[in-house]
Amino acid sequence: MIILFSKITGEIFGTVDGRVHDQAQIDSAMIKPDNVPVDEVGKYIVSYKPLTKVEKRMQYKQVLNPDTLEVEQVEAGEVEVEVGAGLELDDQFKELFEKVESGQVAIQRYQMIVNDKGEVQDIVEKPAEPVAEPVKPEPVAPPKSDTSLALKEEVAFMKQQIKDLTKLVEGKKK
Amino acid sequence: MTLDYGLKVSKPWYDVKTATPAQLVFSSKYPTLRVHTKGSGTITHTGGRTVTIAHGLGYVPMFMVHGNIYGGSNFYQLPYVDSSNVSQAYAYADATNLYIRVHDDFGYVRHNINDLGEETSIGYIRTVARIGRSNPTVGDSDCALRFTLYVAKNATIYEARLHYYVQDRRGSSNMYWRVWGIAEDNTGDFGSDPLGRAVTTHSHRPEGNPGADSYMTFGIKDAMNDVTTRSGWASGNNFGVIMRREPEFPDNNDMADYDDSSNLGFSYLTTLTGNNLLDYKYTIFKDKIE
Repeated sequence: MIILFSKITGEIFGTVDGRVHDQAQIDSAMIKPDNVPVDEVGKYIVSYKPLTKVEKRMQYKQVLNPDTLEVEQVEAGEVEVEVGAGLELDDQFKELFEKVESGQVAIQRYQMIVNDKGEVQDIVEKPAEPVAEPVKPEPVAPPKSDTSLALKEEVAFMKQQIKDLTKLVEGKKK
Repeated sequence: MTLDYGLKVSKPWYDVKTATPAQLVFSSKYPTLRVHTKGSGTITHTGGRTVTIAHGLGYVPMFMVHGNIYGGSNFYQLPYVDSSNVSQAYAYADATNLYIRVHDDFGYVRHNINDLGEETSIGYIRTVARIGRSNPTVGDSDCALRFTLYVAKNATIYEARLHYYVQDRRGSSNMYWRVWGIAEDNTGDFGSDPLGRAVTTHSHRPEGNPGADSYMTFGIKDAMNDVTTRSGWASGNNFGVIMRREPEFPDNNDMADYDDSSNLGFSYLTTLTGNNLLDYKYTIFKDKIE
């Protein structure tokens, strides 16, 4: 797994999953928000080591049966062979990544503690954010209508109109 | 003659020689999507609401993106289109990157208005909320709005927006006004004139040139924060704002949110109290989009 994070704040932007990555994949891996420059993005590659185990495997050899004159395969004894046995986390934060791999925790809920050079010093859980509370559907109650004041406004407006008309009429009379 | 050659792998307990296509886990006879990269992450508000994931394939690949749209552990395939036909979360790709984006409104919670009123030269009118020179007779008016606000005490408020419906507009020049929060733990009823109440330390000074029948939106985060950090604040309390004209406000320029009682819902608040907007999981395939 490659973890992409901010070298400044330690915020984790995202991950590229997988246990084995070639250098080209590591070089090209990039996940970042729009407002973060590429050179501020750090990459933490989770380390694994290959495991091996020793198995005993029967060896065979071919011999000629003198009676039948046919070639036969016969056991030639067991030998010990070293074979692959998967990958194991080999990382300073092994315990955390075991939980991530098993789905117990999400790496996005963590953040990197970085030094001045943007190098990872620790990985810690982010403080929990308050969950936005859903809006309870409430009926919007109409306010109590203040009829007297609304009427007062209308009356004042009409008085003004009467005054304007009176002036107009008087002007024409003159 | 039907040719039947290639490589087949059957599911356990099925004879690969006679297995139907549904009983195979692989057949070289059929095209297969090949995974290029998989991963996950979180889109944040402070991160610009977009994340860019490099794939470097040099062509537009097939991809799948899932997101926990409702914030839980269930993941839904993007895009997520809301009931207003707005794509709230979506993903697209070019020859270099995969982009996952959430809409500017995604993650906001809406809070409804429950009271309003205005103060004019002839007195306080509770049934109307106007700002500016609303009527030559009535004179200038300032107004107050009250909302039921579901924000936890001391919550980090990343954004708070007041959406105000402008029903009528006089004049055509730029308008300036100032908005305060009402400094009360639970803003009381607007039965008496609310314009004289104590206001918050912080205020906001929006300006704009709205047309009639349009929405104005502006931020009031700091004023809201002054109220939601009060010792007596609790989620579900009432939060009020007072809007007054600034001195630069020219005469004969006004906007109004008339209350015909049917228009009450046209003013509302939206808040964003979380930075993590969307957890996503992506899969990019090596296959080209045909």
